Amino acid sequence: MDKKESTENWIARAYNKLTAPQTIKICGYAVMAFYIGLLLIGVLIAATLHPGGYTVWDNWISDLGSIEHTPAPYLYDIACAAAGILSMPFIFYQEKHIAPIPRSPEDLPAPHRMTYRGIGLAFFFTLLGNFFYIFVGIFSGDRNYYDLHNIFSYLTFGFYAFGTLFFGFTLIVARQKLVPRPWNYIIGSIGMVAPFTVAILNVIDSTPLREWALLWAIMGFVIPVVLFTLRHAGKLEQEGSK
Amino acid sequence: MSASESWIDKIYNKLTAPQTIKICGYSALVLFFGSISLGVIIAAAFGPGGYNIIDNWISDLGNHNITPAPFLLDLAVISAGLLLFPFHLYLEKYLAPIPRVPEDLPAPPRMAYRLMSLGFFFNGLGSVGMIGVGVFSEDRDIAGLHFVFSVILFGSFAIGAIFLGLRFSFIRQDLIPKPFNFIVGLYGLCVPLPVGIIAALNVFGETGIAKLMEWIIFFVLIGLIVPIFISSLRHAEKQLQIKK
Repeated sequence: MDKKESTENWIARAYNKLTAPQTIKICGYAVMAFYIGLLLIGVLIAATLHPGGYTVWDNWISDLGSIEHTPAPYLYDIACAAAGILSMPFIFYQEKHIAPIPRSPEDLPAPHRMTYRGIGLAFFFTLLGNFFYIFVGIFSGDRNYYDLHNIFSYLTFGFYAFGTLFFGFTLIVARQKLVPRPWNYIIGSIGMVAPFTVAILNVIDSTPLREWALLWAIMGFVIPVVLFTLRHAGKLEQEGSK
Repeated sequence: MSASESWIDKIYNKLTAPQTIKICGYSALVLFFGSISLGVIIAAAFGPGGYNIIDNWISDLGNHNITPAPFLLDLAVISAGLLLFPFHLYLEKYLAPIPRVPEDLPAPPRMAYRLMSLGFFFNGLGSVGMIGVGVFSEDRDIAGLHFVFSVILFGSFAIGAIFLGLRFSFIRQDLIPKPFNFIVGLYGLCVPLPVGIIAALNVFGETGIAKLMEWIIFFVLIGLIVPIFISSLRHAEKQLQIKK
């Protein structure tokens, strides 16, 4: 079923390329290195080399992209844009393998309807979150024209919070091989509860630490899911090479 | 296609049976349009200050200070909200069918599943909004819940219209015949959300035409829901005939 997505037109071919285990592995390791690496280096540089220093309780995440707070604002801009672009194949891959569509009799039985609903919603919200994250980097703190940086930040965090909510729900209810039991219950519960709760706290009263907490809550869900997805892609690649 | 394993599946199959759709469809049409029309006539004729769509909110139909029959709006929206649920399920079932046996193949493209999961979610949320508007009517507006549910109602249906519009316009289906699928689809895609945004700007900006704009977005949504509703009833009728 995994390999049998239609190869009739260029869209289907692009889809198959995008969701190939090899692509997922490249994007996965690249996003880990770029995003987490650049974010950590960005914080370290801002904290140590800027006269005003940088702490997660006094500074917004966006300060990492402002020359007023760090000598290397471009690090955060690159991190955002890279994470947004490189994460996109993941949600396509996860959707494809959590809710496969039967194309031939051998692919039956199909998953439950709730799996399609959950992953469809997770796909939509996460993909938009990824898309808007690119613009958080483009319109960084230094290029905050018409307040676009803040608008895209709200959109990114909002869509990610909803995306993790539905993704977490799907991991719990769906019979899937991407995140094995009992990890699916643990990671799924984190996805359903943590980001959305912290997002609501930010809506009530936003502080730099709460904004950072939202990022950590999202990463607390996304990183394990990415690791399990890489493991799944690795297995598929091995099966393919045999 | 209808393997009924659990009680949830049994309920789902009952709810999406053509017979249920017919009963719910005719009941919803009679109850919703009957109650709303009657509510407006009674409010205009017997309300202390009269009633018209330029000076009054739709919600005023549920206020005993404005109409002697506020229960009519409550009845209309609660019943329509409940009776629409089988329709959302039916639309999803036939516009994104999941193959269960080899005869069900081929399956539609993945985009159909994406669009219908979103369409189902937002339209379902719209129905919840409808029920909430009726339960927390102007007479029972606890903690501003009436306004919250009104925003959920109009917002969800306007967003849901985009996904239904895309589904009807661009992916093969047999619920709405050609060329009406393009008309209904493009209408859903292009009209409700822009009008909804204009209405929201007027309502939140408290302009002089805010109340009229609320009625306009109401009519715009009716203009989408009714043709889909009637096509679904026609489709359900056909399904019943095939069974016979």
